[in-house]
Amino acid sequence: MSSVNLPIKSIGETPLTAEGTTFRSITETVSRVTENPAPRGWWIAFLMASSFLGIMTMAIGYLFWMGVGVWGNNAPVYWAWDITNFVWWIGIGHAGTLISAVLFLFRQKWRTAINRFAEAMTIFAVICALVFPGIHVGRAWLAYYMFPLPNEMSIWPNFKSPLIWDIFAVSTYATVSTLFWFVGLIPDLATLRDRAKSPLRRKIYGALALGWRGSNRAWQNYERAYLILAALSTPLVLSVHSVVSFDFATSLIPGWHTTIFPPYFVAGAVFSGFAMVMTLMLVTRAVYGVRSIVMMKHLELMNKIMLTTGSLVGYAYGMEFFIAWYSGDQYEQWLFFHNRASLDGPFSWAYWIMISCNVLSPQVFWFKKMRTSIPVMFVVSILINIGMWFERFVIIVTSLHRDFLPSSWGYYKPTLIDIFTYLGTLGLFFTLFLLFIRWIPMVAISEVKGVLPEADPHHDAHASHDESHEDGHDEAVGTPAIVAAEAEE
Amino acid sequence: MSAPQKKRAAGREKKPALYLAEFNSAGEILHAAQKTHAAGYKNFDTHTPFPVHGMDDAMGLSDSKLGLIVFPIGLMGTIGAFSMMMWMNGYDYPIVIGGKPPTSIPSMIPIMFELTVLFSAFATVFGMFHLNQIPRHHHPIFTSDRFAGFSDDKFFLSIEAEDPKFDVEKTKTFIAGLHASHVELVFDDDKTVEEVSSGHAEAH
Amino acid sequence: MSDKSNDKDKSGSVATKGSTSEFALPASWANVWKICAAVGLVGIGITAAQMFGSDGARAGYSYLFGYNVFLTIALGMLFFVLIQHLTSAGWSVTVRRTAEFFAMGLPVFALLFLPILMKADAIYPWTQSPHEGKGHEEKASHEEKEGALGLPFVNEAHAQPAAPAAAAPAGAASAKEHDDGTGKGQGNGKGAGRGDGSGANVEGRKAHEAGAEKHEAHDDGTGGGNGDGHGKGKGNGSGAPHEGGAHAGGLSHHGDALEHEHAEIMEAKQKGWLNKNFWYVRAAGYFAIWSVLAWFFFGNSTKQDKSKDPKLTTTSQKWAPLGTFAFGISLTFAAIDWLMSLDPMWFSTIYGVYIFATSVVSSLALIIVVTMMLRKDGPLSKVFTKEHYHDLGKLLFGFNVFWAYIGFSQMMLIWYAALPAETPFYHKRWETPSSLTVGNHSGDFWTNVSVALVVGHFVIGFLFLISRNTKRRLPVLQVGALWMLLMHVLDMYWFVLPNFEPNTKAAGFSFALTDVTAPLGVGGIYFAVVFYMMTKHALIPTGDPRLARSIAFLNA
Repeated sequence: MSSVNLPIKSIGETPLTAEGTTFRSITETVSRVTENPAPRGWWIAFLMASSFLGIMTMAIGYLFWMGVGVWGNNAPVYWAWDITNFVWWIGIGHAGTLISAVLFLFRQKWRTAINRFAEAMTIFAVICALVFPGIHVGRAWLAYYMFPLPNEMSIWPNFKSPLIWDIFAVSTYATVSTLFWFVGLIPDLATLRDRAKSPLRRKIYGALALGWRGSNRAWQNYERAYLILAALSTPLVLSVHSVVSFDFATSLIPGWHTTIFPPYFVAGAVFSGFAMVMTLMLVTRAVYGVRSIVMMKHLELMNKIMLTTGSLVGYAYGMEFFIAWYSGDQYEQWLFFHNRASLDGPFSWAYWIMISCNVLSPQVFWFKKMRTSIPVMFVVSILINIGMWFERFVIIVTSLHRDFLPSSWGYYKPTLIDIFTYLGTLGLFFTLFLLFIRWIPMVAISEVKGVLPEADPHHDAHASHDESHEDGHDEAVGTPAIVAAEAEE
Repeated sequence: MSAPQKKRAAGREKKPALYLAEFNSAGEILHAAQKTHAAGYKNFDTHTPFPVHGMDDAMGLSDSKLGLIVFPIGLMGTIGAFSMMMWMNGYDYPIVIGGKPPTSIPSMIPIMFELTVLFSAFATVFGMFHLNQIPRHHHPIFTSDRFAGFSDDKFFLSIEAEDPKFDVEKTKTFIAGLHASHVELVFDDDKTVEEVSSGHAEAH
Repeated sequence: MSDKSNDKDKSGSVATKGSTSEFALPASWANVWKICAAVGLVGIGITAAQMFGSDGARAGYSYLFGYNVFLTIALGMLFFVLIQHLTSAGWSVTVRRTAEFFAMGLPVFALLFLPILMKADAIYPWTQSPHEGKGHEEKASHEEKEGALGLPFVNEAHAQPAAPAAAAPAGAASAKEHDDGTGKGQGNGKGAGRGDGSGANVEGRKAHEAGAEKHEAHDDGTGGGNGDGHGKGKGNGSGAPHEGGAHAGGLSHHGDALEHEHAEIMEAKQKGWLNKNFWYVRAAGYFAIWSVLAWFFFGNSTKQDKSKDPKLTTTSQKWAPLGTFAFGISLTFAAIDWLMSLDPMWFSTIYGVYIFATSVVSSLALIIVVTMMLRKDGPLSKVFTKEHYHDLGKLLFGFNVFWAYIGFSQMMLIWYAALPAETPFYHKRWETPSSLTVGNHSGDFWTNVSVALVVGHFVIGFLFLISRNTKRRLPVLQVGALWMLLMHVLDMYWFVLPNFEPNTKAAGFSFALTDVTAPLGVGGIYFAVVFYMMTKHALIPTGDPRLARSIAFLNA
């Protein structure tokens, strides 16, 4: 039975882990990162990231003091970088859920190498995203108005507003992602607990590991919980970016109101998220030497997913363009042909950055040579990160700056505070990320062990038995008790 | 230890808590679990670094009940969201927005969905905690120093003293037949571990 | 447990032998293709007789419906094959062949497309010039006959009425027909008139709300509020006020300007996309892509039965990405060309995805149903295991949710924005209850179908398939899959038939015999080809290097 699950070389299948990987080596490689003192590079990166975080704090403090007038938002561009950054960050988070949930349901076992990493990214990206709805309301201290809390004016949120749906979607997403992440962490926290030398470390990891004993009775419920969470997260991840897209698509603004927005936003989100996972993974992999676990095979598969989602995004751009023409709607046509695509349009540069980064650049991944070249994938992943930011910028700003009434047309320029706030959220993201790498196993130890060939209970049986014994139970047949047990069942 | 000794031990509050047998591979632990189940033990468990495929059948476990907990609570989320919006926007303070009637079903779907997922996720995680009886930071099994290996590359089988079939001597004989690489008797006084055997590295 | 391991034992030996003859079609199935062919020929015969006889347009819509029911299934099958290669999936190897057989039926659809091609003028409104009402006259006369034939669910009064009000703004040509008093002016709405209606929806709605209050008056046939604008509400029957009144109410003010604008848009569309020559070329392109893809993957797989060459697997995997790309584009534009253009003024960017979703759901359901029938007491019961059905069931469940998600996205966005250019799609498929006339049961037919889809396709499908036990109990799962297939048929009916205007507006819905014969005809021919091919090849890919893995596969 196990032999059939071994990679078949003649059709190009390769093992999921490097030659010579053992349970012990996985434990060692991953736990070591959290146990050894941080390398100098980590400190440098951490200082940089936290100074950016400081800049964000100051920019937001200034914003609270002065009001949203310090941003470049104007009439008619009422929404600009704030919502662009929000959507961008939420999108980046989606790859984590895709890897942990969707690929899990599709039994793509290679995901075990990268899922912890990507899930952590999800949570941090959502935290960064949540900064923006909080601060863009103007009077941030009244942000609780967004929740259905009883109040003395006895008014309730307007549940027909997609922005309220967004509150529910994003906060649910943040909560469920965190729960999912924590559930995945429990066995690995137990590993750190069991390896801990200092009592403090032992206490902290011990408390977090909840007394996990690796009991099979627990594993059974644990696995079912994992499956249910994956099954919940999959539609959740679709819904979150769909709801984000409803923020735009329920309106009447040309370029916003189009029915393909929900799936198109989801594809774009996954696309940008994978690019971010790739960028970070390449750096981390180089610094921490987890190459035996995160192999070229994994990177290549991620590149294939980027090619797929990039093409889906291209499909959506194409459909929007085609239907703008096909609909015969002059406002849509004006928007797409003049404001976006035509070089005369004031924001056409942004449109063409978006097209070349998102649609054209991933096309290099059609070639295996490109898919397996680290410099190429690093550059492309950065380009996609940029391109996906511009996608949101293009959607939001080009649609708003010239709407139905030519006399109200305007232009948009960001201010320094806009830029600082955005860079600051990058600082927040990387600060959290570096802390994660430092203290939490960055690879799901127990899950990677589970995909080693040795994890198959019938693995060693095969080393010593003839190939023809397909049934793994055969070596136990000699024991009468086992025969009886099998007959009972 | 003979039977009279066991009784004396119990009198001194040094009751045996469990036998702990250590194995080196997933295959060995699976067979050991099959034999233990076949021998009629109920309060036994395996402790592995990752879930071993086929172990539920080997131990004779029935299917997880988690789904039964999650479904009704998820449904509560759906109904709760619906009633919340119906009441707040439909009855308590009805407003017509965008030409839509105060209670329009299509605009309620997103939040109904989100709350269903939120409730289900909480039910899943806390339901799992409940079924697994965690957090439980104190357990006699942690008395064994070797047990720390379960989260690395070792596989353990434990037979608890609460098992009706448990008998210090008979269980010891039984466990010796499992070809474990190491067997211990753990007492529930948080410090005593009695080595029973070691060195049976070869399982077959 | 012992059963399971025994199964494994057998399957293990089966896999090592892997003989093609062992997995040939069971003898009891050898003649199934002939039965299918007979049913198909009779079905096509009756439908064609209607299409090229007196009742052309109505039967044409039936045929288009039947055709798309099975075309979407065949395309879903092709997608199944593509996606398995794209993901290098090992679990699905045994069931993949079934999908390959059904995808291999795609070339037949080129042949089956001929009736649509020949009757394009009667089916697709954009084949007519937007400026004149000609060409509709033929159609209108058929409608008249249909009305006169006294179809079972429509009484004379309902078959007639709306014409005057709706036809009024459509210009001189319609006025002529209207004077005949035969109630066929609807046909005019097709080109320009259709668009007019949508443009006027907002005001129209107000008008019909007003009309609804005067409801009683309508029943009396006194004309009522709706017709006031043009004073042509002569004897408006019960179903009339809604659509007819809606359009009329809005158009009475600026009908000419709107009509002109829409005619211009229509003309631009016809120049660039919706003209017959280009339409032919595109159709040829779609069939070429689909046939090549189906043949390529089927050919590789069957060749491997004999040669056992693992290279064929890698070749298939290598071309799968490009194939999927071509598949996605061709499916989208085929959906636009053959279904969306039934209402040439209406548009939706998600349409291709919608048709894709319904394709995948229906094809998964059919794989489940057919493989379960084939495995009954054959050697196949060892290779199509409970585990495969569990997974297929999960996919069916998942894509059913996806279908609902896409459907909801489109519906909610159009409902929310309420743009007159977009709402007609749902207007036709959802008559609000307040606009109903008591006693006219046919008027709410499409409301019922829409509700049936939401409840039957999504809610029942969801609750039925969510349980692990359902998916692992094969007879129960088979019932679920059959249910989903039935819902798919309803789904395609809902896509196609509301565009047959005499059925939706004032006249109310009418059922036609061809609605049954057309799907039987198309399906019969399609299945005949598929089952005939099954007699020629093994029912599982006996040469696939991952066959043993697929047979031994267990759900974790």
